[in-house]
Amino acid sequence: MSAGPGLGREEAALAARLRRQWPVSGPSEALDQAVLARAGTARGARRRTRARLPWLLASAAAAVLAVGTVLRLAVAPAPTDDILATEAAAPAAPAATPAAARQPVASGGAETAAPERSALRAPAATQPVQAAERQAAGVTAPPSPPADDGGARQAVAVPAAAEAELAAAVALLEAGQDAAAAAAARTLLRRWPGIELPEPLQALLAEPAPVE
Amino acid sequence: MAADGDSSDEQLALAWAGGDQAAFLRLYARHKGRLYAFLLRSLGRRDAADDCFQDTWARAIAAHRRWRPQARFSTWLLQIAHNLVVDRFRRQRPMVSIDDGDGPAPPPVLVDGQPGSDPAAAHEALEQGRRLRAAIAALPLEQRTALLLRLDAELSLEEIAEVTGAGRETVKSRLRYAMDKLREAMG
Repeated sequence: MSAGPGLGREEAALAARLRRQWPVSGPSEALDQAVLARAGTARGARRRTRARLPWLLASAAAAVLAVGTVLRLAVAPAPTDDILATEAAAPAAPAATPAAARQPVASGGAETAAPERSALRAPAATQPVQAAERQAAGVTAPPSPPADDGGARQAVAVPAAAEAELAAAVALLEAGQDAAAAAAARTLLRRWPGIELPEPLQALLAEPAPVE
Repeated sequence: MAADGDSSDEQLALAWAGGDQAAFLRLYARHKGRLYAFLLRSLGRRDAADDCFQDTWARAIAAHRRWRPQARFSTWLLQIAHNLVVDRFRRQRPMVSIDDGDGPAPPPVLVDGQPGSDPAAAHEALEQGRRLRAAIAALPLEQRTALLLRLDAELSLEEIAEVTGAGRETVKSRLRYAMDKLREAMG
């Protein structure tokens, strides 16, 4: 028997017989892909992390804003029908709700008599900085209720508490994180049904959900 | 360090250790067939061979930056594979079962270049292939490993000793026993 790398005559004959009578086709393509994927794992992971950084930052910002909103909602007393009725009977003092008091009113009725509720509207005329932020975020001012319906059909405006979340949703959309933006927009709609979304977000929600 | 198409395994392995993924692809293309054949013929089952094949490359990938050209790359790779095969046998004995329907596909029957032109010859070739596989499967693991590393991978006695961790004379003895048993089984 040869001790070197070359096979002896009997070994060579047996090796040829082995390959002929017990052929092995090699690893499957799926196995190839599994190994090759494993070989590229480290580099791929770094690339994925870099690609996800904007999304992670946007998500973190949205989470912080959401927590702030929840805290604000928890601290503020929820407006009830009873409170609204009481306040409708007695107009609020200008000092208590200055923004709402200075808000131009199209007609009388519930909107006129509910300053707390009016305060939830974005007071665009009295807070120019906030209005500019909303404009930058693509949020349009809520349409005033038509004068002929007496204010009964009240449009749902963007509550102040929702503005930050709305801005975050728009930021996600602009960052190309469509799925996250859509999720944020749906959350907004669930919390404030009927809230006006900017056109890009509306278009995003109108798109069919991607099939995974 | 860039490795071209004529680079040795060791040059490619060094390039791979330096971060050259193309070098890995060439090493993989060179060694995957021989490694898989060794594993399949050692273990006798495709599912087990698939597992060990993937684990072998996973370990090689995890350790490739520490590879140093003191040994041939092929020997290093086969050493990893051999260790995995031994571990598997220790965990799940008995392992090799070539007649359980999950073994390798029957060899293609070729008579005068035409498949199946003579049913009797085809049957005989099939029977010889079955006997060969059964004879290899019946060998003790150490003898089977030595035989396959010699016939399939064409390693020298010293290299087989390095892969298996046995002495050169032990390897020589194992090979002699294995050849004797095969000769006897095959008639």
